Amino acid sequence: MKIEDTPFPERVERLWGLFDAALNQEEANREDFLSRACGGDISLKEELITLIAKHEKDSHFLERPAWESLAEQPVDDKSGSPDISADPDLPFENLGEFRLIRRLGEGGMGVVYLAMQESVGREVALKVIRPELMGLTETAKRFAREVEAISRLRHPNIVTLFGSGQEQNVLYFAMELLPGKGLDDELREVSAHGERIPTTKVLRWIKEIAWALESAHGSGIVHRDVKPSNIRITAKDQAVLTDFSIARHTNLTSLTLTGEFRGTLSYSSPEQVEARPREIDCRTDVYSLGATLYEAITGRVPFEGDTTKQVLHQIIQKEPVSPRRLNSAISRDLETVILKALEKDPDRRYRTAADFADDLDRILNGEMILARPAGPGTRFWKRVRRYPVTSTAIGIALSTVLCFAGYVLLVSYPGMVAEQDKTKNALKKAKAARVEAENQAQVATTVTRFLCDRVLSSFEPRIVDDADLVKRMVTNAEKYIETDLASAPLAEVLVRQKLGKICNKNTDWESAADHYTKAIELGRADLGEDHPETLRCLFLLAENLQHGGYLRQSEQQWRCSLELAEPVLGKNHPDVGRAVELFSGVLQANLKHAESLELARKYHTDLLVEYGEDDPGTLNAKWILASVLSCSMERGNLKEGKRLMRYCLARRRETLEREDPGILGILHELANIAETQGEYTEQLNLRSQWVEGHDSCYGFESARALESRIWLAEAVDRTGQFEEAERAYRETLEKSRKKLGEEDVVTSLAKCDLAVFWTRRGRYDDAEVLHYQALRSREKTSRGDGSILWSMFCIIDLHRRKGEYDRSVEMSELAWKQPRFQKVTSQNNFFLNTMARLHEDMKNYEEAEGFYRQSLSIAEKKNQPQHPRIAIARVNLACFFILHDRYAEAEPLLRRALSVLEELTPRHFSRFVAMSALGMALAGQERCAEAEPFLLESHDGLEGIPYSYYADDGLEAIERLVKLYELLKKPVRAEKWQRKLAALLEAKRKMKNRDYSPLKSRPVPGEER
Amino acid sequence: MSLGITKTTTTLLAALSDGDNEAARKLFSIVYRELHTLAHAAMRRERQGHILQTTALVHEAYLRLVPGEGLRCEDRAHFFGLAARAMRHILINEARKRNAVKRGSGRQPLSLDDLHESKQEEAASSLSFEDLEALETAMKKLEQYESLEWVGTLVDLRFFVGLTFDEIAEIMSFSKGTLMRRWDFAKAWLQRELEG
Repeated sequence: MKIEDTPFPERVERLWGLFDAALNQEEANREDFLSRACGGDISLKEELITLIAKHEKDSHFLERPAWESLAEQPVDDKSGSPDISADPDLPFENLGEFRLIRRLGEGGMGVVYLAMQESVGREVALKVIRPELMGLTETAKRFAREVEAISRLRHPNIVTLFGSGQEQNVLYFAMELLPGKGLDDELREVSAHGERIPTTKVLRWIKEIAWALESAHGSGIVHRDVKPSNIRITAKDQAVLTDFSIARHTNLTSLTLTGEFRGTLSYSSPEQVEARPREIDCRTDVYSLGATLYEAITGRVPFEGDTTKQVLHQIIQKEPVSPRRLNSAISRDLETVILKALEKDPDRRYRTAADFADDLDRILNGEMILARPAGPGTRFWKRVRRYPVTSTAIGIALSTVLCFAGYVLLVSYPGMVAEQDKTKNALKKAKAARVEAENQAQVATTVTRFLCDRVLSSFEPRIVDDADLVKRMVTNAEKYIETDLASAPLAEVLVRQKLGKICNKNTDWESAADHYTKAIELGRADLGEDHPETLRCLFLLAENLQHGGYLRQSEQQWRCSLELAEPVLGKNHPDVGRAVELFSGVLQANLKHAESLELARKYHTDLLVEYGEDDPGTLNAKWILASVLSCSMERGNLKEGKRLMRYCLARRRETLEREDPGILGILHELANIAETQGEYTEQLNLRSQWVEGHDSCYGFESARALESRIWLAEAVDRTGQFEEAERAYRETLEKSRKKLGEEDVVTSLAKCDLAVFWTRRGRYDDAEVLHYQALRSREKTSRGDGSILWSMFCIIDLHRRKGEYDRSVEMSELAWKQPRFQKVTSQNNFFLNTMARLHEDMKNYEEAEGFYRQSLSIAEKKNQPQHPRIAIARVNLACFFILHDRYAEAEPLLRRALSVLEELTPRHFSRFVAMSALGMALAGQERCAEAEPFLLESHDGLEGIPYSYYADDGLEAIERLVKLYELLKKPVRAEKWQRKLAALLEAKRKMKNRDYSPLKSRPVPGEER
Repeated sequence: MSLGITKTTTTLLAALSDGDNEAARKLFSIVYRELHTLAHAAMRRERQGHILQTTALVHEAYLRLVPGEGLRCEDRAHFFGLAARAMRHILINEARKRNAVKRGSGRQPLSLDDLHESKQEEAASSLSFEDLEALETAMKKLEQYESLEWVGTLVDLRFFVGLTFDEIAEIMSFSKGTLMRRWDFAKAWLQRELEG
């Protein structure tokens, strides 16, 4: 039974009252009670009885929360259309040829409806100007004209306009319907879960919008209302700029009346809020886009406040909070770019949206950005991400890091400073006042202009590859310091920092040191001992000395600058963390491993105690400690290092985006450790993740991603999947050629590494072609980074293998003439080994022995006593002895080597090589019974490492077994091993003769030489 | 953005207490938008195996929209009342949308057995979408009666948000006993409306 549709209120109230009262009665009395209470109103009584019956039924009705049943229902996953709930009140049914379907949402100036364009039969987003704003906007005519202008804009990242009109006293226009959602919603959603949109994604979107703006600006249109809600992220993950025309004609002062002002205010530029309409141009959009980027990256708008007035005040007066303070994962460069876009003075922003887009692109590609921090307090140097460029293709024995011989520093810096302190102390205070008075904005502008006009504009990496030219330009720029920056000490310090950095890039360490020293001098005198920029100069000098190979001086410099800087900047300051990281590296290079470890441990403990486990500084310290530990040559430390590193990886994956460079760094390090230890499968796994990270971080055809693929190919090779490895090498090479060019450093690296791969497989001719190509490119592009020498060594080795000793010697003489050779590379173990082998093959045995011995003594000098490199140098020398029947001399060398290798790198092939050699040394001394287990075990070990087994190492191990059984007079066994040897040789021959597709751009024969 | 919203929420709640109907409308739209965003994000997560907790959503919306110390008791009650109503709209809209999808083409028809089973299950413990819509109609009807306004709020808080009775008692300032009795009435009334 159903009650009538609208019972009187009194009746309903009564129903509730009686329901309540009846249930308070005993069940038996209810009937009576109801009869009494309802009097003659039978229907009332019946209704109550029904209600009570429903109540008594004890059903689950409404007991299960609504969302539970909802959760069970399928959802339309491909929901293409925006999922904003239907709103029944459509003010119009039709506007022009558009039939309104439902309301989609609203913006500051209008309401957006889903509508059908009847003539074309397509759904559009129809924006209708709010009637109450009609009186405030300018004339409909002007509106129409502008809409028309915008309709001419054709850009993939600008919403397409389908039509517009005026009807029923409202203005409307129809736009392309963009499935997806607004950036504001994206941001709100992720922040609701305490997450962030991956930075690279945000940067890509913002870049797209910047290009869209550039296109609009080109047509003379300024958007003026760029903000997250006006950026739509489509289902295809593309950013599209919307809401053009309305904002275009919005006079901001009138907007305040609508109550929607605040949302926009946060993205408004100073010139907008100060109502300086003549200053509003494309740079206004740059500002608003900068504010949008700021919010997307940090999770909050640049300026927050409780009142409009406060926000206005901040927009005009205050600098935004440094983005890095809000999100420590932001790079310095990105911060610089954001802050440049948010400059108060339009003249100091990016001049065009395209400039802004370019810098965003550079960040995405991991390149140097054009913008420089303008404010004096801003962080200056970019963290040097050092991905090794040299190949380690030939394994641990050869992958010795290029090391620098100590050189006397030209400038004895600490003494000089002491003297200055005395003489300049008096002047200091007076000058400091002047510095304070110096208009900071002016400094910033001076610096920026100076850098841009005199230096930076000509310093794009990959553009200037002429070291002399760069040097000349820097020298030229230096001349202007005197005149341009005479009364701006801070500016001069900043400029010198910059010039130093350029010199460093150009491997002109001395000039860089000179700039830094002058900057320190000036900073101490005019800015103060503990001014952040002075301190930064100290760090920069130490880093410079380190990279330049002046390791002792660098150590000293780090020691005193850290002492000065730490109390001022605080232990968990990123610069201090970086300094500790580099300092610990220098200590290691100076063979002070214990001190290095102590430093890293103490730093970690200090931060842990002071800031707790979760502080980014502590995590960074953990990472430093992990790196130091994993360089340690003690098994326990190694294990702890690896464990810590994995922990850091897990933590960073929690807090950073998957593809953050910080994570890539850890993966790289872990992969290196795995390789050193012979854990090839693990290495491959880590490398794959590393490459994936590069792909998503920099784009899969970027230089970095391609370089990472070369490393991956090498890791694949190590696991014995030769064909896959070759394919990976070749594909990467082709892609680099296409994307980066024939001469690019990454292309050269790909060539060189593929050539080394082929050399190992006996494909000498193709290897030679590639090696010479790479060498020629490197002669043009190398800036003294050692890559030329690396190519040359590989070529020496290649000709030796081919028996073309003359050409090997010729190349070694060429190498000798290289500028860096005598300083640096003559100490290189790879080179020494290559030369030793060459002489051995040429039967200059004395020379060969000399090279082997030199290699060992250098390894001993440069490494901790336990280091595998020393063990490997011992094995090499011992193998030489074995070939010359000097078994007794070989044995002790091999035993020492083996004990180290067994302890530290039990699964690395060098251990089995050593074992096989020891077996041979014993057999040679007619101790065959002792020799047999060594030889058998080494064969088994090598067989498990296809990479080595199918190369010379495996062959040699079997040859030795054959010899052993011949000595033991066991012909059957000797025969068995002989067969195995033949099979292996056959496999190798097949590999060598496989049908390869011809190489592209093969040079004309003869051109090489 | 957060600047604008949080500020308005608090002021609007104050205005609401002074009987400002316009404030109620504005506030509702703010709360609605907020919850809508949260709910949709949550539903996406729920599809990945998380459970949609409307309770948590409303609490989250509260924290996001009313930062700081919190509000006077009555403002708090207002807020939760509004949020619960917004939640109802969201869920019902969602239901409508899914209904539309279900009715539309492109989905594999269930076999008879499946249908039978799921029908039974549904009948046992939960409401179908059609029921949800009917429920809303019934609730709207009840809301016309000033003296029974609490029915809607109560059902919203309990059924659509999933708050505990203790929480509801606090928000609506009823004793637990009264609350339970009112709940009984609301259920009985609505059940009769739906089942006839």
